[in-house]
Amino acid sequence: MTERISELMLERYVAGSATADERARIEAAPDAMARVAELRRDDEALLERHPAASVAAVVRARSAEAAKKTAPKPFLWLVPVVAMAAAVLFVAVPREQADDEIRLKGVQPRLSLYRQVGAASEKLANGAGARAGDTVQVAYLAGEATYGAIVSVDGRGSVTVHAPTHGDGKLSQRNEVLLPRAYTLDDAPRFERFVFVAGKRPIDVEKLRKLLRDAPDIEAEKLRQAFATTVDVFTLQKEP
Amino acid sequence: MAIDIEDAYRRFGPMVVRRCRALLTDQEQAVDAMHDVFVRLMQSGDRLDDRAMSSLLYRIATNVSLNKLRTRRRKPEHADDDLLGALAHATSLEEEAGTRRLLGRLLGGVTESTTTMAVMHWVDGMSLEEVAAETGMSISGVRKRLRTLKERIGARHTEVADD
Repeated sequence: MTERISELMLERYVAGSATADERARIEAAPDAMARVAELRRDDEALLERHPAASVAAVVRARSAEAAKKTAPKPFLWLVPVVAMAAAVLFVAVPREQADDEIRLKGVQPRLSLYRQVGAASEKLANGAGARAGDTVQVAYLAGEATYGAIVSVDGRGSVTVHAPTHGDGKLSQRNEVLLPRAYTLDDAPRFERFVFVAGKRPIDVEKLRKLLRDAPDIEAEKLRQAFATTVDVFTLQKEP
Repeated sequence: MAIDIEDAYRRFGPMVVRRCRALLTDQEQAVDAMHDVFVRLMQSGDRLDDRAMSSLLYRIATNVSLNKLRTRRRKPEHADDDLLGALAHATSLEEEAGTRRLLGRLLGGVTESTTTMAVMHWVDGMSLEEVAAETGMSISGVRKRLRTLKERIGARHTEVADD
């Protein structure tokens, strides 16, 4: 009598997640192995026709759209932003929560950066080395600030506004907020600088963009003076 | 840390497409459904081992496909389609009843998870033991749910096999 092997078990075999017992049962059944070969050919065809990067982009967009629909109080920054490099590899869409308007008194606004390492991430230190192709996720802590802007500039002087993309840049007061997209660094030399200007009133983003475009390595103190508020600068040193 | 969607797709995406295609019998709709499946995975936010992820994706793919079946008009092409339509509709009834929660309780609910079990057992041909293992329920629990569902979808689907 031929053993019946479910399609799910075959799928698991192809995906490499079958148990040892399941593998043995499948490998002992010629019909099952023929089906496995068919599935593998279909895998190749599907992945070629629908590449992972394009599927992930659609998934991100639909997920962001769904999050906006279900959020009790959508955070206005959480919309797609222009990628600063050629490709956007992954997105960490924070679960939406109501902004409770509670300020973190005594806590300075600050930036954090994370680098994707396989399926995990590592928190980067300010001044850490980074290479073209690294995927980084920007996060901020609002602290006492109510409004903010996050803008980056690279060693070529290319400026990217990460937030706000529209609206007045009101900050979420959750402990740490991930921007909706992560970015793949391009091959710009020397550095990537991320500047977070935060204060009690909306930030003049155009002024910040112009300052960084005209002087990519402008000192943080000069930015503080220019905006008369808190500035946090996070720099990644580009390695060849 | 969020689930790495690209990695999950490379490993299990083709499985999801095939699952959706088998139920929807339409490649284009299956690919559309696959995207929805990974959106749901992303929203779950759970980090899972490979086996748990394949189980979860298979169940989500089944649910998403049933939802799509429910919202499209189509002529049954073979017996399984007819049965699938009935199962999808059974879930729809439950959702309608969900707006009238008390009535739903009185009628005895047919949940999305029950229709997923039904598809696994009646359409995919998985044994009660396999369905129980996939859904984390007892065999008797699966049997009971399917019996209730069978009563609900009625005598016009007599091709539904006895447990």
